[in-house]
Amino acid sequence: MPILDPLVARAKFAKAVKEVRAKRHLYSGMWRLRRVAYPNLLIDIMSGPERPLFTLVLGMENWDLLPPTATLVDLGIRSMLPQGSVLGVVENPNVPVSHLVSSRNVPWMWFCSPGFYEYHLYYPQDRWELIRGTRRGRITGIIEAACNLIDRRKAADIHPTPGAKAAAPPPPPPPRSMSHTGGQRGG
Amino acid sequence: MAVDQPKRADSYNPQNPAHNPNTGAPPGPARVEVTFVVQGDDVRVDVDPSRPTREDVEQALKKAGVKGDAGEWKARTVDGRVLDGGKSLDEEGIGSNAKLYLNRGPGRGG
Repeated sequence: MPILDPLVARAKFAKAVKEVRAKRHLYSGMWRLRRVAYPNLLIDIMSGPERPLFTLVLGMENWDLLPPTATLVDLGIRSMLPQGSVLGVVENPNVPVSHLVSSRNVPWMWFCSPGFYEYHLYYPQDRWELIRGTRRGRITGIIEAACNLIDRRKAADIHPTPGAKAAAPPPPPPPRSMSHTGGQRGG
Repeated sequence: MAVDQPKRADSYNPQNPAHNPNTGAPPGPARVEVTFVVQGDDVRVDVDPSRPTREDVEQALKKAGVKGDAGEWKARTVDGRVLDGGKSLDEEGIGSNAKLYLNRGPGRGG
């Protein structure tokens, strides 16, 4: 739900897009700017310069009063990624607590890590304001954080779930009471 | 009474190994230039590839103006491989003009 004045929101969004465009050359091979469609920013997550894996959708309607919502869709921007396939390539599977989370209640995955809206909703004590305006709170820092949560070296083929609907616009935040799936995941 | 004369600096002598690198003087450590990307800012650092990577990370963070505990930061390659701070760039197979990404990890979550 937009809570920022639309003019302010668009100005903030334009500033973030400008930053992404200015810095993207540093991240070639990690991510690339796919599409800008206010209030969404679509980023292809890469496993090398010519190997896009899937697309990160950042919902920035309240940027940067609030951090962006985030989820992953297939490269055709038509389907949510199948949760099992993507969770299987989450970085460092030996770590008991994952930061890429699916839920029984919603069909999408969300990033449970500082800098993402869903995380700060789930952990309200860890304030967004603490990183907002810092390097970590920059949009490029958040995109990099998303990329680092995924083991991109595996370059696994990710197939969309047949019949799943497209993700854009980004999903609403998960309810506080949302329980994570996967027995090994904490919360 | 003898007066100590200040020592005069040696003038250039091509036969002196210290003055002429072509006379077999032992070379110093090879240096490589690496670009560290610190959450959107890039800094170029001239490093000794044989020393532990954590020292390179400290140097890059200092140059980027980042304060705090450098031990919290990890260096990654563009494909996401995390470098071992105790290993050197040579051991990690990182050469000159490489680009490495520094970040503090995902933090709490899950």
